[in-house]
Amino acid sequence: MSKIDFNKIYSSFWFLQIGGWLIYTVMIYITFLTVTNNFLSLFYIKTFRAVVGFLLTLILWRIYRRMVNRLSLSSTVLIVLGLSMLFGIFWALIEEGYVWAISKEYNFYANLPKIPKVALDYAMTVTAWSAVYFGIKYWQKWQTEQQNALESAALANKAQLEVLRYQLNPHFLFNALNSIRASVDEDSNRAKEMITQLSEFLRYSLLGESEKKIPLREELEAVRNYLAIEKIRFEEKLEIEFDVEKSAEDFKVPCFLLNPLVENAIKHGLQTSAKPLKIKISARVSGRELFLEVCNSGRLENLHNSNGTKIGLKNVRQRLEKLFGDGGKFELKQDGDFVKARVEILRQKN
Amino acid sequence: MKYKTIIVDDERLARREMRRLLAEFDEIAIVGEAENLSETLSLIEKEKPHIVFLDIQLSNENGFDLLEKTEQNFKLIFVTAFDAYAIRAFEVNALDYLLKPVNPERLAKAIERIGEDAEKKAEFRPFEFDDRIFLELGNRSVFLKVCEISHINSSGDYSEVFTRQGKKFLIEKSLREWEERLPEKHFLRIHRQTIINLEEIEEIETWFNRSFQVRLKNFRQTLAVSRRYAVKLKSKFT
Repeated sequence: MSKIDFNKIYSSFWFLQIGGWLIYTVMIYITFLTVTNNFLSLFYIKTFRAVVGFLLTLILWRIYRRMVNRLSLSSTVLIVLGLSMLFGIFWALIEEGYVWAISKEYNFYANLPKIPKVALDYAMTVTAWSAVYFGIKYWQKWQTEQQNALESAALANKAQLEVLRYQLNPHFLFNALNSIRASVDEDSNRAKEMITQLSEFLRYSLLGESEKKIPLREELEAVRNYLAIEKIRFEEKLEIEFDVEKSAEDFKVPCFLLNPLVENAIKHGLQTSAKPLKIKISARVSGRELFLEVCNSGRLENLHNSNGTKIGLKNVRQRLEKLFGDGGKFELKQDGDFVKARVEILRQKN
Repeated sequence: MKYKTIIVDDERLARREMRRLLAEFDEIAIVGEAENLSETLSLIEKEKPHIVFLDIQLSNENGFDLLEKTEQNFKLIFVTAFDAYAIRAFEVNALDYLLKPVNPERLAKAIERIGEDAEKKAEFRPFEFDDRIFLELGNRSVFLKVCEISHINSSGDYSEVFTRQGKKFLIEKSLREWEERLPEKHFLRIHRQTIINLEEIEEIETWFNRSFQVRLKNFRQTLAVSRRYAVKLKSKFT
């Protein structure tokens, strides 16, 4: 069974038009009850007035519908005032004619001076109706715009996170495949092992969800696979060291947080470090905070001439900010003989 | 005749793979391996190779720099895992470009091309603004980023290529051939004698007889815009 959308009904034109004019009718009955005792003629005249108002505003509706969102505010206001005046006069004249038709003691000349005042009165009513109409229209438009803005921002965030994660480095991938091809004859067991490691790494990077947080253990596993392949490529030119506290392994971290840091460490380390390049990865917990470090034995100075790295690091920073707000920190600095990339994450309560 | 060949790669496994792939070709004789540019240079001096297989991303060096350091002439075949920008050359057989892992059939084609007639015309493929192009200058060769070209002057059958750094290369290509290959969006012929890089325009001066002169960022001399091309130049800026 489909659910009835009350919000939609309440904001529909017909609901408001009929409801509004009913309230109007009741209100004029009440106001005039106190000043007359001819109830029947009051009923006829005031009902007629409300019906005419109802019908006239329907005509206005047809006109206004074409104007909404097409004209500037000032021309809308001018047209609304002009039409209100016109419809007010029209309304007053029709009513005058009706009264003349049904009433025997109607004195046209006595009533004539009153007509401009009545017309102005009715014009005000039409203006008020118009103001409500446009007010609702603009409010609805504003709401949809707000909604769209929120939706597009959410989409953009998602897309950006996806992109960041899919920055699976093609250099790495094809070089890994090349190393595997080379290993097939030289050492087929190593080739098999590399295929497994590469598969695990690809699975992790392609199937993981960027918004999802996972235990550090899984992220480290992916990093280990990645480094195992790089170690086979670079052989004795690369030395790797892990130092992970047991308690840190269950800490939840964003998927693919560490890998860009490790990738950078190798890329820059190879350019700036003495051989062999040393990579150290450490994780420890203190209180509610997790400290992750990726160090390489290179130098930080030459960093500014590499755009790709800057983007990579900016992404790490942005993701931390998005996912943890003030609870995530990132810094990159030279610490003695090592370039140290350091991430701090505050455990979130939930 | 066998081609004396050198393999340059910083990874032992990659060199081994290349060696194994090349073992299939009788015309290739591998005379040495190198893992960085200085080793490569001394090998080139010693062996005077016909072919160099060169990895672009060496651990702390760039394969492109090799040509600036040697006067020797050899056929260069790049081998790389992935490169964001292509390398293009005016001559089909001037160089080749292989992607790792190397496809043996593609390698066979590259080796086949080495023997081809050097006079063969270039296949028509326009350069991109970010491309590197490979230019043969008589007995040596250079790499040039297309975006680094400031302007090109015609000089008979030759053309003079001026770079943004103020270098000048004399190349055996007509201005017409340049015009066909350079990206239209960034380069414009302004005269029978001249093609300019639009990004390099500092200002356009209007002279009293309603002709134009273009001043480029890194050059003091102005360049004349002939009436024929003035309309096109104007349309680029309106």
